[in-house]
Parts: sequence; structure tokens; C-alpha cells
Amino acid sequence: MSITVENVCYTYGKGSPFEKKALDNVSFHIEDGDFIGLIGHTGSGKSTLIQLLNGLIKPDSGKVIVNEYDLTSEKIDMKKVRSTVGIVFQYPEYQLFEETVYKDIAFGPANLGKSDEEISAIIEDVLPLVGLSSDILDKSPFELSGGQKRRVAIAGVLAMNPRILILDEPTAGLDPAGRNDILSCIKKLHDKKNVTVILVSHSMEDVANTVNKIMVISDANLIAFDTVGNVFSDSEKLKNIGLNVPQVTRIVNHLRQKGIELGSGIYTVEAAVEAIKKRVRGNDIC
Amino acid sequence: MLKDITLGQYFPLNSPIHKLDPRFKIMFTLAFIVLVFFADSVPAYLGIGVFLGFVIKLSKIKARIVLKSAKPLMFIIIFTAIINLFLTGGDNVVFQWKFLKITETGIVNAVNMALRLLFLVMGSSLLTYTTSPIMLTDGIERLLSPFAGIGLPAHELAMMMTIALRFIPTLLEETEKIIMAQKARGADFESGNIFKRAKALIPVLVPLFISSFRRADELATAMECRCYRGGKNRTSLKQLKINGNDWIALSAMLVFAAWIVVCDVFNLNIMGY
Amino acid sequence: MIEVKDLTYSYDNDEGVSEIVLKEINLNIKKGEFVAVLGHNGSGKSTFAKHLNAIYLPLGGKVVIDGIDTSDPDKLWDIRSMVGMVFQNPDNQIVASIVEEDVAFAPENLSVPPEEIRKRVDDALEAVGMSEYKNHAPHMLSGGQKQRVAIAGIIAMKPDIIVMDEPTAMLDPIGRREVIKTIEDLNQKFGITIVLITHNMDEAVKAQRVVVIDAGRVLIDDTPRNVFKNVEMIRSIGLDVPQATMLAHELIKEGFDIRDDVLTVDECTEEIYKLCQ
Repeated sequence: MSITVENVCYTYGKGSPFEKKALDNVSFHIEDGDFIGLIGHTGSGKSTLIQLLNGLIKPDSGKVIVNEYDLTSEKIDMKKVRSTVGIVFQYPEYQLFEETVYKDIAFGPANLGKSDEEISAIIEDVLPLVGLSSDILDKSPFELSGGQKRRVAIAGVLAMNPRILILDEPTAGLDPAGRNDILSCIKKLHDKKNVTVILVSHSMEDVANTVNKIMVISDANLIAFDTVGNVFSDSEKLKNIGLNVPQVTRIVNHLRQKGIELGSGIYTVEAAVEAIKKRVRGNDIC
Repeated sequence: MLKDITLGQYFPLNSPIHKLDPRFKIMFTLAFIVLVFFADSVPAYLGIGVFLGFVIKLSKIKARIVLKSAKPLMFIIIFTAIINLFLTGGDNVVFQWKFLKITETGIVNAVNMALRLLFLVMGSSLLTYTTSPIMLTDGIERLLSPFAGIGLPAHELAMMMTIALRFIPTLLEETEKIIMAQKARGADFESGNIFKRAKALIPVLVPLFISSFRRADELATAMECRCYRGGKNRTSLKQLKINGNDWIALSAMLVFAAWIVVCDVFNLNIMGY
Repeated sequence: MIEVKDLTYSYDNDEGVSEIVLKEINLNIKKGEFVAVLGHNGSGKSTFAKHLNAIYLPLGGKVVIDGIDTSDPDKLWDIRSMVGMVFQNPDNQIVASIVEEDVAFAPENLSVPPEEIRKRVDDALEAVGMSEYKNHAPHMLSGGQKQRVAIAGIIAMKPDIIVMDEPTAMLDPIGRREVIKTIEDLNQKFGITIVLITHNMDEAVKAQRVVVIDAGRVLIDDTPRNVFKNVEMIRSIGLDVPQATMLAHELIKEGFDIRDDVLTVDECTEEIYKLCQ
């Protein structure tokens, strides 16, 4: 289930005074099972990119190919695309509308034409993935807590059984505990179900702790797409476009400037502890 | 994007008409509408045409744009004219085919109605073209405030308008987002008959209502935090000051009104009706 | 300036059972202080904030602002204009469709004369660095800009205290930086007392004092340094510590001899540097 984007351009509000280039000749290829962090400022073109990936908008030029589907062709069956690529938008709880949690999660699969039996099996499947228990199914989604609402909304997208899942800042507004819960759900989903995940986030620490590869978008251009280690090792490049690296990476970089080399590709606390142990205890032996 | 629609079609230009006190402008527009309905002779219509042309010129707004304002109402204008054309009785029959009969009075009435409606639409569009929504709201509030004593909620109405103007773009943007999210969940807004399409809107309308109520609730708290307690004793950042231009405009308006009244009273009617 | 004595608050839930939100909170905040109130969602921190300007009135205990009890109905508007409040969603606090009209809203409500309003509006927009946007429509601004307009709307009331209820939660990193910078300026340049409600540890670090609320009670009340060194405890109540603090903490657990109250990247770098020498 790979994604290929070739020379894609997209401009907003063409011909109006608000005309703005959102994507300028962007190309990349995502492999099946990748776990990608998508970073960039508000207005950099991130949102446009994720909307392109499930055909919500069509590029002005270029090609978007998801698996065997060419999203730029006219004849494409959108239902197939929507069931392949799921998007969890920012604050997804604001799109809940049904009387019960069950009905809300069922909305997506029902639109895909699934039978009632299939839907109930899907819901049974999906609930544990987002850490919800079945006794909330008959409740109104509006009487749940903020964190629960968000899980229900994510479950609503998972119920469409997407092979590619895009999440736009799924942890926005949550407290640290809520954030960690959601991130570990996503990680589990990727590891156990081999879903290709694209995680849009503003938190470099979160990205560093979860994904394998990072895609950086700035000013309508794709400026980096590489492993986490490689992207964070060029902290100057990120700094120039106003993005940061995780605190741990900054500490490692500062130490390097002071003449202490802990090694490259250190972006989590665990990795830093290991590197420091090796360095200090190694010195002791000498 | 939806949120880029300019509301109330205000054209922010720097012209003497833009600078007029909104209260005067609102009163002038009302007076203009009444006068247009008084007019029923060629000299009166000429007077209106010249006056309107003069105001358009002063406002620096292109005449084409003002003419365009009548476009959405063209159907009504033509419809009214046709009704008048065929359904007015009278003796001087100009044309007859079976039961369809056009009389001279009918022609005159049709032209009368069409012209009046056209002038009316153009005149009131000029008001919104040259007055920002916030000034308009301010003007309405001040004009209505004398009636607050007899229970007319002038301030409340104005505050409602202000908040509506403020939140329309926000809600449009939100609607767009919700539509996008439901589409991604496979919702189909484009196919099916009218009932199916109406039903397809529920997943958009319910979240929109819920979020509007949440916003209203939060806004009310925020307003209380900013010491809002109704219109009593409120002051205002922007003072409406009547200056020389307003008096000149008033004089022009009076001359214009006098002309229409004179045409009407002396029945200056070349056609002889 | 702010005295909170035995503040207790509860409400009846759907089943008619009384749920305690705040329990015997005692807190004094001095003039000019910058205090962060930290707690996870549902800890009671927002309820606490809403007691500071009489949106909620205490069910037990009392809240006194500059000698005035918040439950005195005659002084309600004095309290509200003395204690300004900024909320999470900037969109839902802006009333007017032009920036300067919105900033004028509070002084208009307070019957301030027009010339004085003009001055207050200009000063307030200047203080948050939004002067050049005074004639813009709020919906065309970025999140951080909108929130600064909302803050200007509060400054125009000339409050002594501003309570901020998660003002950066909905913003992107640039917006956060703008708003936090504005908050620090208001505190340092204008001497306004700041109570910042947050669950973001990187913001709490900027305060002079951190009050941690959990399950409606004050858990710790100390300097950021002394609060965040209790890494295990902070994490056990669903909060986090800055990554630099976390790294130092992990190193101590591994038996390294470094300071236990590291807060910033620079301090952490310094400690590890000493270790490696």
C-alpha cells in the first residue's frame, strides 16, 4: 500500500486576491508500513497535502497515486479511496453527530455500504484499538469527556479499515497523559496492524518518540524526507525555517560544540542516557 | 474559500459619500425610497436619475457595479413589469390578442414599476457599498435609541448584528471543515434526490449547531468577563460626529425631495396622465 | 493581592450526586507575581480560575481580591475589571469584526469617555504588538495574533491581574511563542500579576512560582525548580516535565552525580559536560 506523489502543484483561490500557492512541485514516495511524521508551520502546505492524499482536493498538476488508484484520474471510485486512506482531522470530536457512540462509529462503514452484521463486528474490533470499552456504545457521544470523544472520533475513521491513516495533530489540546495515551494507540495500530501512518504534529518530542521517518514542509515545498536521525541531525536547516529539534538533540548538539561527541542520531531520552553512559563509564575504564 | 466572501458588499474607498454620518445615510436612503414611489413623471424620473448618477460619481464606485446590484432582482423587476403591462385596465388599447390586452396605462405602469424598483435597488445598494457593516450597525443603534424608552431593544439589536457579522466567517470556515471531515468518512453530498441530499446534511448541521452553542456559551462568559451588562451607560470608541458635509448632503437631499414633490403636485406630466 | 481561603466548590452531577471539584484550597498571590497553575484536564484548575473573577462564587471558603470579597454582589464589576480573564479559544472571545472595535469593548462597557478609550485601545494594541492590525478583521489573523487581540481587549480594562486559562492550548508553536512572550512582557514591563493556567510544562517553567493542582487540591506550591525535580510525582498525576529535566533525572537514576533540579537545555548541557570532563 504505497503512496506516490509526483510533481504536484496546488494553488488556493486561483484568480482571487487571496491566491496562495500551497504546494509547489512536490514529489515523494511512501512505502507500505512507513510511520511518518509530517512537520511544518501552519500555512506551510501540510493540510493541503493530506487533503490531496485521499482525493478531497485534486492537484492543479502532477499525480497522486495511492496503491493502484490514480487519484488524479476522473474515473476513480472515491469510496474505494476513502476506505483506503483515512484522515483524522484536527479536533475530530467536533464532527461527532449521532445519538449514540455506536451509530457515530458506524457512519463511515455504513457509507461504504457495509451490512449491519459487518458493522457490529468492525466496531467490536475497533474499540479496543483506541482503548475504549463497549459499555460506552449506547451513550451519547456528547456526554463523554474530551479525551473519550476524541477516541470515538478516531474509532469512526478506523472503522473504515484504512490501510493508510493520516492524523492531523491528534493530540492538540490534550494534557500529557491524554497525549501519551493517543500516541501509544497510534503506535500500536502501526505495529500490530501494519497500517501506514502519517502523523502531523507540532511537537518534535512526540515525533521523535513515535515515527521512523520525517517529512518537512516549508513554504509549499518539501524540504526534507528522511529518517528521524538524519532530519534532526541537520538542526540548522530546521532552525532556518523556524522549527526546532527535540530538547535532547539540542543538548547533544551543544555538547558537540563544546567538544564532547556523544554520537549522531540521538533524539530520545533513552538514547541519550545510553550514549552518556557509554561515554562517561568508558572514560572511567581508561 | 468561503471565508473570503466580503459581507454586506462594502467597498472601502475614500469618498465624501463614505465619510457621511451613517445615521444621515440611513435616513437619506429611507427618504430616497419613499420619494421614488412618489415619482411618476418623466421629469421626476430624470431628477432621480441625475441625483443617483451624481451620488454614484461622488462615491467613486464604478457605475457598472451599482447597476449590477440589480441583477439578482432582475427577475422580480421584469415579472412586476409584465404583470403591470397585461393586467392594467384602460381605454387606449394599443395591442390586443385574444384575452391579452395592452393599454397605454399598462405600458406607463409597467415602465413606472420597473424604473422604481431599479432605482430602489440601486439606492439601497449604495448605502451598503459605502458604509462598513460596523458603521451601519452603529447608525441603526443611534437612530433607534430614542425608541428604547418605549421598549425597542435598540442596543440589543445592534449587538446581535455585530456578533452575527463577527461570527459568520468563523462559522463558514467551520462548515467547510466539517464537510471535509464527513466526506473523508465517506459522506456523499452530491448524489441522490433532494430528500437524500437534505438527509446527507445532518452530519454537517448537527456538529455545526453544537459548536455554535458552545461558542455562544463561551462568548457570553468572555463578554461578562469584560464587564458587559447591556447597553446602559455604554460609551463608544467611535463618536459619530456630524460635520459640514452632512449638512451639504442634507441640503442636496432637500432640493431633490422638493423637485420630486413639485413634479408630483403640479403634475408636470408630458404624457398627460 | 489575591487571597484564597479554604476554597471549596462542588456541583451535582446527572445522578444528583455531589462531586467535589475544589477542596479547601489556600493560596496567596502577591502583586506582580507570575504564577503558573498546573494540572491535568479535569483537575479543577479551570474551575479555580473562574473563581478569581467571580464567574463562580465559592460554596465554601472565600476569595478576596485586593481586600474585596468576590461574593459581594455590589463589587462584582470592580472585581471583573480588576481581574481580567483570557480563555483558550481566541475566536470565542472576540466580539467585533474589527480589531480596534473589539479592544474597545470592555472600556465601552465601563463607560470610559471616548478620548480615553482611544488612548487605551492604542496602548493595549501597542503592548501586545498588534498596532498595525488595528483595522483588520479578526478572522483573517493567525491564532497567535487573535489571542494577542483578545489579550489587548483585557489590557484595555486596565486590570491589575490577568488570569489566563490555557491561552496557548489551541495555538501552533509560533503562536505559543508570541503569546508567552506577550505574557512575560505584561508581567515584567507593566507589572501585571499573571495567573497562567496550563498543562504545558515548558510554559510553567517561565513562571516564578508553580502551583500544582490535582483532584481539586493544591499538591505543591513552589518555584518551578523545586516543583519539577519531583519527576515521579509529577508524572504520576498525568503531567510531564521538560525533556532536559527528564534526562537529568534518568542520569541520576543511573547513579550519576549531577544536580537534581535541572530545568533548561543549557543547565542540562552544563551538567553532562562536567560529567564528561
